[in-house]
Amino acid sequence: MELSSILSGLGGGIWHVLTPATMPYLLVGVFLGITVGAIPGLTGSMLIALSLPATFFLTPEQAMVLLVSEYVGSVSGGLISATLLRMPGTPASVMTTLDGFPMAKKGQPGRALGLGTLSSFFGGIVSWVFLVLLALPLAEAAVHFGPWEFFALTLLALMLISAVGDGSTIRALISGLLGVLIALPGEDPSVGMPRLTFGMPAMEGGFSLLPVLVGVYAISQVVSDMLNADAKPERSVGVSRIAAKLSDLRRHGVNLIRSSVIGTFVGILPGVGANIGSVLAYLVAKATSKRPEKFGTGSEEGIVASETGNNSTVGGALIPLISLGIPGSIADAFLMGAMIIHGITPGPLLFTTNSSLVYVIMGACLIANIAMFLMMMGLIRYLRRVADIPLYLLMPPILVFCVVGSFALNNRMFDVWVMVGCGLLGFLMERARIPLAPFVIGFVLAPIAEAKLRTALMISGGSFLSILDRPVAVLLMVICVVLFLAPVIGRFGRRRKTKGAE
Amino acid sequence: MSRRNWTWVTAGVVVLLAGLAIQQAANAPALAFDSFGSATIPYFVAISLLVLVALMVFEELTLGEGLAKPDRGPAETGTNAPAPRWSVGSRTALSLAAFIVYVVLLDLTDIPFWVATLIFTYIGSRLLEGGTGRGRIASLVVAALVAVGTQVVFTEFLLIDLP
Repeated sequence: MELSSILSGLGGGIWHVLTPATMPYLLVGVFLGITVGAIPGLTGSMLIALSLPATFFLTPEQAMVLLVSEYVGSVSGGLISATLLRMPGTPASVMTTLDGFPMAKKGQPGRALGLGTLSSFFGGIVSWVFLVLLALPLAEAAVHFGPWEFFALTLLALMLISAVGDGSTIRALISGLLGVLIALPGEDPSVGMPRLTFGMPAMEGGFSLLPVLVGVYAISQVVSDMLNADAKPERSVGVSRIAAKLSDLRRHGVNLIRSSVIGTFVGILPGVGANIGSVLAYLVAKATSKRPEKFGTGSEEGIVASETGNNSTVGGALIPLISLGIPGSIADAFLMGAMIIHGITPGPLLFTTNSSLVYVIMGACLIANIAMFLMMMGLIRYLRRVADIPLYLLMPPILVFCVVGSFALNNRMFDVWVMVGCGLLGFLMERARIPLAPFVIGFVLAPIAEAKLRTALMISGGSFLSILDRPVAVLLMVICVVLFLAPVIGRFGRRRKTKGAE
Repeated sequence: MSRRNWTWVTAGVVVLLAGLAIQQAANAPALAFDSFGSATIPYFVAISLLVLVALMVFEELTLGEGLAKPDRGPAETGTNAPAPRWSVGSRTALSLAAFIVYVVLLDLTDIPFWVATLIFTYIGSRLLEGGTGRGRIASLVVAALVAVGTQVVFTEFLLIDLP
């Protein structure tokens, strides 16, 4: 596709977002995102999940604009409570807490918030540029993929999220496979007959996406927040003026660009979210800083790196979702669910079958970043109040929305009970230090992976060796094996090193 | 309950789920043209889970709390707010029990959605508050807004039936 057609498509997408029929959804989405992001314990993914039922009667374009805007807003909103409460509003803002709060305590909360907002905006815009430049070429390459390549790609997504996470690989793999297991009951994707249904008619359609994800992700988080309720401070630090200057862009230019690139590429990795982007950008900034000792005491560089890193994952994570149909983060898994609910199949053919929607998503990502910047700069003094809302007023309504969201999809209480059961499972997983992100990705990708594998086997007459005719698939499988073995090799290497030192 | 005990409980649940999948996979349809079969993936996933759970148990026994991540950083409280009378565990357990009762009421009785929601949201909020008596009016206002707001928005504007 030529550059001119991309630009005209992009222009059309941006124009669509700016029309009166769509723009209110963007503004509401950004506002809700910032608000929810500012409240410790509530995350953007939870907001997107709970907003899904409200999009049933919107056009796909309006729905995606609303959800993408919530995503952008929520990643940015975490800055507020991280700086003023010393509690990250979202996991993505953990690193901001280290320098944002000390700076606020030194009497410069406005400076910390201003710098964080400017960095968030910069990161968002840079990752948007990458989104525009990379999504189409990647999709064009993926159009030539056959079932073996897609199977290997989905397997790679699961392996990546298990390997790149910050805990035990074994637990991450358990999480991913549990997601796959919960996705198996219902109609067999190849032969169309029911399986694993326990003879229950209600299970013949399988477990719906929304109740499972709301249960595992939102309910378990609500329970964890309830158990941590006493850790939340009552009042945030006051703020009078938000201070950010254009000269900050020049002063922190290298850090901004470097952190944006790190965040974007971390975002592209399937299932690896904004928190990893933020941590990596922060650590690299500290390692390359002339004043690393200032990090953790209110360093401007620390705030810039963390906020640029987390916001730039948003655009990066949209790249594999749009181009390959592989979610780049948990929030993207929910966006993928929204697309499926609206009858859209994400993946390389999206540019052919529904290119206008792709450009609307890109347009929404750009305009939402601009709206986020303006809202944060103008309203942060008032928005900080939401961080002070006590959890006992928030949690029961969230549980109600979980019930409504689960019920509304199919109008049946069975889904509500599925949500409750998955909530219990998610809570147990959290307590056992089993990460939830691989579960979400596993649940979303399992039907695709199985269908592609079985299609490939039907084409080859049941021979697994036919994968050898597909070099890209072989390469992806080799990467999967390396990722699987990497922790074992690493542990073995460390043990040898320790023995050598002794 | 200690972190290790949570791991045992979760391992038990995963084994149960894997066992159920294996039992059900035995009844999965088998068609002549599909040599791979409907049961292969369920068997593979369930057996992989059993192996991984065994590895997790081994990991827990050998590394144990070494895997535990540090808790979130300490919060700056320093407020004059009275301490809750009930422990955070009791508050959470009671609120979740109220939630389950709420879902049962919605499923098995004809109580209007907004009434059940009003009652649950208020009671849940008071239980979580911890018995100090703060914010009673706020809890009531929030409960009324959520109950009536959800009912009106979903049934009148979005035309979605509620339980």
